[in-house]
Amino acid sequence: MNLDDWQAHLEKHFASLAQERSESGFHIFVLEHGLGDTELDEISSLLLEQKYASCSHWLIWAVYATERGYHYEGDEYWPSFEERTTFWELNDRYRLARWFMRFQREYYGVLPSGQWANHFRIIAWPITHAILPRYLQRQLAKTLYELRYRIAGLTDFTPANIGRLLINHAHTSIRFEEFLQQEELTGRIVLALLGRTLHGGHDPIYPPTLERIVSDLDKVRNAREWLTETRQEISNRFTGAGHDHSDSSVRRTTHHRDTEGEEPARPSLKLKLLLRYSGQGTWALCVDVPDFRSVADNVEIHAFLNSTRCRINGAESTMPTGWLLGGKRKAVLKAWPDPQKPLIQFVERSNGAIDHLIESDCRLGQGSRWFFRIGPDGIAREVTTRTVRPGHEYIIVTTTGMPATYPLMGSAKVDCAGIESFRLRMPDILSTEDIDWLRTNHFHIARTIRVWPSGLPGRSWDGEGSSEWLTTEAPCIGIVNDHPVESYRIRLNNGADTIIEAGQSGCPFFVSLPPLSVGTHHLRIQAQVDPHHSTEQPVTGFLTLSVREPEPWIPGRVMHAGLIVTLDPHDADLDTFWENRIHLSIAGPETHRVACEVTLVKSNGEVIYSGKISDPLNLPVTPERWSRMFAKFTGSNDMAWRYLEASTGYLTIKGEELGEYRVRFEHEALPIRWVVRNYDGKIFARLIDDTGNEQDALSTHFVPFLYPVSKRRLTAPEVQSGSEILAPGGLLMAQLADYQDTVVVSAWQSGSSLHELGVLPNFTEQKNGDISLAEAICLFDLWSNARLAGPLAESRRQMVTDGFLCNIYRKICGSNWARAEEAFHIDPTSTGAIERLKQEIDSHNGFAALLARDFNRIQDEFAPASQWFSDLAKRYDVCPEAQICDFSLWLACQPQSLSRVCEDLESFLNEVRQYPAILRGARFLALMSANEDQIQPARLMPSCTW
Amino acid sequence: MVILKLEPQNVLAAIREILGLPIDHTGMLGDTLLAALVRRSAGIHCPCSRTTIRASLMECLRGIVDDGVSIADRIDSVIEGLIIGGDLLELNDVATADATVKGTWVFAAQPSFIQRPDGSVFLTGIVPDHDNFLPFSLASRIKHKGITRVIEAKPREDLPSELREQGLQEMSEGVWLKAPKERTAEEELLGMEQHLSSKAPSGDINNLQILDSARSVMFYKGRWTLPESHHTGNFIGRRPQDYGAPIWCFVTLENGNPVRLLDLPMKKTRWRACDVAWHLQMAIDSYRSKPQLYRRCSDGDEVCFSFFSPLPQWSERRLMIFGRREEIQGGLISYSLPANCADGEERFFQQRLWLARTEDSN
Repeated sequence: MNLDDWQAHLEKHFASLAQERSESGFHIFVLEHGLGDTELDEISSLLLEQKYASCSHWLIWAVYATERGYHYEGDEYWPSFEERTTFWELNDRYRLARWFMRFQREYYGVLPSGQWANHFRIIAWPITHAILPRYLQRQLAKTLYELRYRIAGLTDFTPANIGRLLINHAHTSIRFEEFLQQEELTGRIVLALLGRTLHGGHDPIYPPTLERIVSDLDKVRNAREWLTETRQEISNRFTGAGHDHSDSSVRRTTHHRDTEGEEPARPSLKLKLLLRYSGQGTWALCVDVPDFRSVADNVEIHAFLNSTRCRINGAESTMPTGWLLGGKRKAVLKAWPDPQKPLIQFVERSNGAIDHLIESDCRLGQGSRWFFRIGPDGIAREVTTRTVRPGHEYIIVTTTGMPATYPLMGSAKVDCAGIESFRLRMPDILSTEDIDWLRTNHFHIARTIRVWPSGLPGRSWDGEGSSEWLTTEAPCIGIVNDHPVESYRIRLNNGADTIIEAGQSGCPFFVSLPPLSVGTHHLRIQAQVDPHHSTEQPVTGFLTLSVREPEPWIPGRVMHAGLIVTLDPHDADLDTFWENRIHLSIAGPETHRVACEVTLVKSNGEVIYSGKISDPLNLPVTPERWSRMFAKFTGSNDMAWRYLEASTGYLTIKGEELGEYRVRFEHEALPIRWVVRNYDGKIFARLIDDTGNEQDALSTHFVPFLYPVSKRRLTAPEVQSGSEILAPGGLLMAQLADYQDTVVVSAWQSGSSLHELGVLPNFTEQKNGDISLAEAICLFDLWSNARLAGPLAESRRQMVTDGFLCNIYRKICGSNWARAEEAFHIDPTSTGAIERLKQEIDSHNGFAALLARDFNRIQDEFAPASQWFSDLAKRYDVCPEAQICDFSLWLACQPQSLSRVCEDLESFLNEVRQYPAILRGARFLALMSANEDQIQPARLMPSCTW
Repeated sequence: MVILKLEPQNVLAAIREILGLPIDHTGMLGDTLLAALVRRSAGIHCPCSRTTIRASLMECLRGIVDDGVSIADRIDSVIEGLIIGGDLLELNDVATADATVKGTWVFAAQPSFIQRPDGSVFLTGIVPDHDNFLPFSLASRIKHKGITRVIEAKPREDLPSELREQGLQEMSEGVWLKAPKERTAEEELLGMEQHLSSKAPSGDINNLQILDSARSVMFYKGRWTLPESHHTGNFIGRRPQDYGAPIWCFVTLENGNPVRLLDLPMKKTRWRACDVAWHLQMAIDSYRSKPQLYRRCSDGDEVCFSFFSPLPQWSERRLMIFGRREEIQGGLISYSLPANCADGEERFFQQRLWLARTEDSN
C-alpha cells in the first residue's frame, strides 16, 4: 500500500468508528487507529521517504505524531520528533495542529482540555490523542491501586466521577496531574482498564487499542498486579455493574453493603477530647484531631490545607501548614476551648467548604459538664453520651462550679485554664443514697445493657457508644446484660428489626454486621424481658458507627510521629529546592541520626546523580542547619550542571528504624522556556516554545552580568537553534504574550583564577539616570526572580541585585544615607555605624529611637507591622500617608516582591521621594532585623515572609 | 441486611479472615493472631503507651477468651516481641502531642524488610488501615511464624528489589543489628557505678523492687524481691508508676535503704531502659563470677539456645534474624539457629553479653 491507500484506509476506519461512537457520546482518539506494529512501521517509513509533510496525508501524519506522543517520555516532545523526522520544519508544527483540529471536527475527535492543554497548545494534541502515554502508565496503575477503595466506594460509576476522584486524590507528578485534568477522558480510560462497559454495552475505547494499552501495562513492573487488585476490590463491591444498559452511566445494581436509612455519606470530622495522666495526680487535656485527608476531596481543599496553618481552640501554638493532612494528630489544650468558636481555626485564609464542615463537626459538645471515663492505660476518654456506669471511674470537668462534696467524689487536677474538675468513683453496687445523689446532680446512670466493638480493636472507641470502622470491615459487636433477658431486638439505622435469642445473663454474645458504606450508622439494641416475669421497661443500648474508606498507604509520604519532616513550601519545585529556598526541619529523638540523599533523574528515568548531602546528621535538624548544609552541597561546580538536566529530584531522609521520608521535586516545564546545557565546558542556551501562539511576537533578550542594565535583543534563529553563552554569562529573558521565562546563566572559562570567578557589575546607566527608578525596580525584579543555571549563579546574581538596590536607595534616600549603609555593611556590630544610621533617618530623634527599640516588630505579619510603622511615622510627622509607609516597608524589606503587591510603581516612587525619611526609617528596620544575630558579612534584607 | 449471631470461636475465625491470616482449625487465639491484633491496635493508637495497646486488646477480646490474667501477660509478651522484631519502636525522650513534655512512647514502625542469610526476608512495620500492605501475590507468600512474618525467596527471584518497588524500606544488617560498643563486664559496671556515685542522696523510694544478684541466675522472676536489711551494694531496680510501665533504675542500697538512684536509661541513650538494665545485670553477674547462663543443644543441622533471663533487644534481634523462636525449652527464651552460624553467635553471647554455657549443654 502507498500513502494514498493508507490515508484512505484510515479515513474509512475513523468514519466508521465515528458513526458507531456518536451514539455513546464518547469522542475518538487518534490512537484508536487500529494499526499493528508492522503497519505502523510501514507508514513511518513511507512518510520519512517522502521527505515533506504533505496535506493529502494529513491523517497519517496525525497517527505518526500520536505514536510519538504514545512513546513520549515526558521531556521535550519536539527534539525527539525532529530527530526522527529530519526534514521537519518549525512551521510544520502549526500545520500538524491544524490536522488534529480537522480530525476532531470530521471524526468526532477528542478536543484537548484543561489548563495544560491551554498552555501547551500544539503538543497537547498528539499527547492527548495518545490516550495514555507509556511513561504515565505505571503512575496510573499505581494511583488506581492506591485509590481502589475510594473508586470502589463511588456511588455513581461514571467517567466524570472517576476522573474527578482521580484528580482530587492523586498527587504524584506534575505531568500526571496535568494528564488528569481531562477528567472525563481519564475516567473513560479507567473504566476501560477496569473492564467496565457503558452506554448500552459500548466499549469506552476501541478494543484493539485497549488491548494494546493493557498489554503494554502488563510489561510495566507491578502494573498488572495493581490493576488486578483494583478490579478485584471493585468487583467485590459491585454485582452486575456493567450490565445495566438502561441508564447513561454504570450504576450499582445490587450492592452487598447496607445503605438503609443511613445518614448522608460523609466521613466524620469529630474531634475527641481526652485526658492523659501526666503524674502526681495531674491530667493533661488533649484533643484527637482526625485525618482531614478523608474530606480533602478536591485539589482546591487539598492545596488550602497544605498551605494554611491552623490553631486549635485552647492550644498555645500554631500548627504548621499541612498538619491536618498528616494522619491523626494530637494537641494539648492549655485552656478550655471557647464554646463559641470551632475547635479548629485557620490562620492565613479560609475556605468555604472546610469552614462549613468545621462549623458543624468541630465544636465542643453543648453544656457545662463533660465526662471522661478513665481507662487502664491512664487515658480518660470523653463519653459523649454523658452517662456513668457502676464499676468505672470518671473525671468530670465543669465550667459552672463543683457539686457539694460527696464520698464518691475525689480530687483530680486537670492542667487547663477555665475549668474545675473532680474524680467520680462509681462503686460496683450503688446504694440508694448514691443513686439519689447522682440523680440530684443530674448524672445519668447507664442501665445494665453493655455493647462494645469485639474481635478487632475499636477505632476511636470511647468505651460507651461511639466507634469508627472501615468500609472493608464487617463490624462485630459484643453484647452483655446482667439481668435475665429473653431476646434482643437489634436494628441498624431505620432497617428492620432482627430478633436474637438471648443466652444466660452475664454471658456476652456477639453479632456481626455486613460491611457498611461511608457515613454514620446507628445500631439500636433492645433487651426484651419476659413480661410474665418482669414489669421493667425494655432496656435499650445504642452504638454509633462512623464508617470511612481506608486511607491509602503512600510509601515515603505518610510518617509515623517518630520522625517529623516539615517542608515549607510543601509543593516546592526543583528550582526552589535547588536554590535553597525551602525551609526544611527534621524532628525526632535526639538519640537518632538521619542520612539525607539527593537523587536527580532525567525524564526517561535515567539517574543522573545519587548521593549523600552530608555525613549523617544528629536530630533535630533546624531550617538554618539544613540551609547551610545544602548550600555547601550545591556549591559544587559539577552539581550545578547535572541539576539542569534533571526533570525530577528526590530528597530522601533516612532515619534507619525511624523510617524514611521521600519528597519529590519536579522541574515545572513552562510553555516557553530556556533550556541550558553544558557540553564539554561550553554553555549553550536554547528556547523552547510550546505555546502554539502564531499571533504574538516573541521577545528575547540577554543582559550580561557586567552590564546588568543593558539589554541585547536576541534573534529568533539564535534562540531556536541554541547559542553559546560566553563567560561570565548573564540574564536570558523571553516573553510571548502572557508567557515569560528568565534564567540567570553563570559560565566561566576553565583555568579562571579565583578573583575572576566574581563579577563587578557596572551600573553607570542607572547612576546617570538613563533609566527611571521604576525601570530599575522592574529589572531588579527580573534578576531576582529568574531561575539559576550554572555554578556561582546565586552569588553572582546577588552582586547584581545588591548593586541595583544600593543605587535605588541612594537615589531616594540620598548619598549620606548610602554612605551610612556602606559603613554599617563593613561592620554591622559597630555601635557607631548604627548611631550614624539613626542620625541620618530624620531630624526627629524619637522616631529613630523607637525604630531601634522595636525593630523586631517587622517580623510579625505585614498588617500589624505596617500599622505600627505608619502610626509612628504619623506621630513624628515623618509621613502622613499610610499607603506610602506600606510601600516603603515593601521597598526596604522585600523589594523582590514589590511588583506583585504594587500596581502603580511609578506614582508610588514619586510619592516616596517626597518623604525620603520614611524609606530611610524602613531601611533602618530592615538592616537591624536582618543583622540581629550580628553574623558577618552583613545582610541587606531581613528574612520576613509577608 | 443480615445481622448474625456469632459464637466466640466464630468471632476469632472472622477476625482471622479480616486480618488475612491462614485458617486455624484449633480455633485458639495463637500468637500469630494476637500479634496481628497488636499491630492493628498500634496502627490505630500509636504513638501511645504499651498499656493503651494492651487495654484496647483486652476490651475487644472480652468474652472471647476467658483467662484475664494470662491473656494480659500474653499481650505484654507479644508487644515486647513486636518491639524486638521491629514492628513497634519504643523510643525514649520523645515528644508527641506536647513538644515540651518528653517521654517514652511506642510508635508503629514504617514497613521495612531485612534480608536473612538464607535469602528469605523478614518483614516489619505497620500501616494504619491496612493489615496487609503488600499486594496479594506477595501477601499470600507471607509465612507467619509466631509473631514474625517471613517471605521465602523463589529461585532466582530478586525479592528485595520486589519489596523496594512496593515502597518497603530495606534495613541493612548493620542498621538492624546495631549494638552498644563492645566493653568488658567490668568496664560496663564501673562506668555505670561512676554515674551512680555522682548522684545526690535519693531518700526513700516507694514500692522499689530489686534484682537480687545473689539469687540463682536460672530463675529470672525469682530474682526480683523487695529490698531487705541484708541488701547492701548496687542493684538493678524498678518502681511502679500510675498507668505506666515501671521505671527502671540502678540503685545503691545500704542495709536495704536506698542511698543513691540513677534512672535508666540515661539521657542521649538510644537503648530502652529495660535493655540497659538487663545488660547491666549481665555485667554484674559476670563480675561476681556468677555469669548468666544459656543452654546449647545440638540437633542435626540446628542448634537450640535457651536463655534464663531476658536478652536486650539488640541481641535478641540477632537470633530472630539468623534463626527462629522456639517453644520455651526449660528457660525463658529459646531460639534455633543453623549449625553453621551457631558458633559465631555463641561467641557473641560470651563477649557481648558475658554469658556462659550451662554444664548440661551438648
